[in-house]
Amino acid sequence: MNIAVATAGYGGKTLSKTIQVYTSDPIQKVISLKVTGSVEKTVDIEPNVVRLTGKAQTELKAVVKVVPMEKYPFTIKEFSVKNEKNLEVVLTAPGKGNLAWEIMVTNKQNRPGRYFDMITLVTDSSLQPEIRINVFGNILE
Amino acid sequence: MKNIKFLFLGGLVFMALSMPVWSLETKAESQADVPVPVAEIAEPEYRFDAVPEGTKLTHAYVIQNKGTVPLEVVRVKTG
Repeated sequence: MNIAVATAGYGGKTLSKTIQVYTSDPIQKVISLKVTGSVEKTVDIEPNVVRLTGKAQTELKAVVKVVPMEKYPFTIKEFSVKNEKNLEVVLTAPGKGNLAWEIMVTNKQNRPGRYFDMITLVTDSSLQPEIRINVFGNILE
Repeated sequence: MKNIKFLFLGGLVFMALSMPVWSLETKAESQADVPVPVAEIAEPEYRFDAVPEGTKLTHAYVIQNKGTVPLEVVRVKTG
């Protein structure tokens, strides 16, 4: 019996999964299989969720730092925003001797209300070809 | 006459006590005769070495059938 396990989302944690196989064996009707091991982080994203809350017509900004782990370096090739009406995004590459990419996220929505948006970073890493950052906007009157 | 009665009653008690044992043995023997699949797995746990996030792991578990009729996998549940 072949299994495939995706480790995405388990960076810095122990992955533990169980598989129950129901068989026609009258004595051993259920066989429990287990898969376990540790998953290393390849990137630090701080914060991993952006919340822009404040009054309309005021400046709402946040900076996200994306730091590849030294063992698993990568560069960000491009980025996109799901709805460009909501956000303006500026990406700054790391300086010399620095690994951190900075993403400046600025609210563009002037109408009061809430929105959900997403920034997608495309990298040259085979392990993390895409990084998604969720953005929640809460524009008050 | 008293002795005959005693022997007869003793015989009845013996028969009553030995009946359930006899019926159990017969049932066990008949169950052993029914061909059934017997699942056997040598390594039910797969421990992998540390891997970077994003790695796609694959593994093959070997379930052997030691019985005399085909073993069927009815359902697989992951959690």
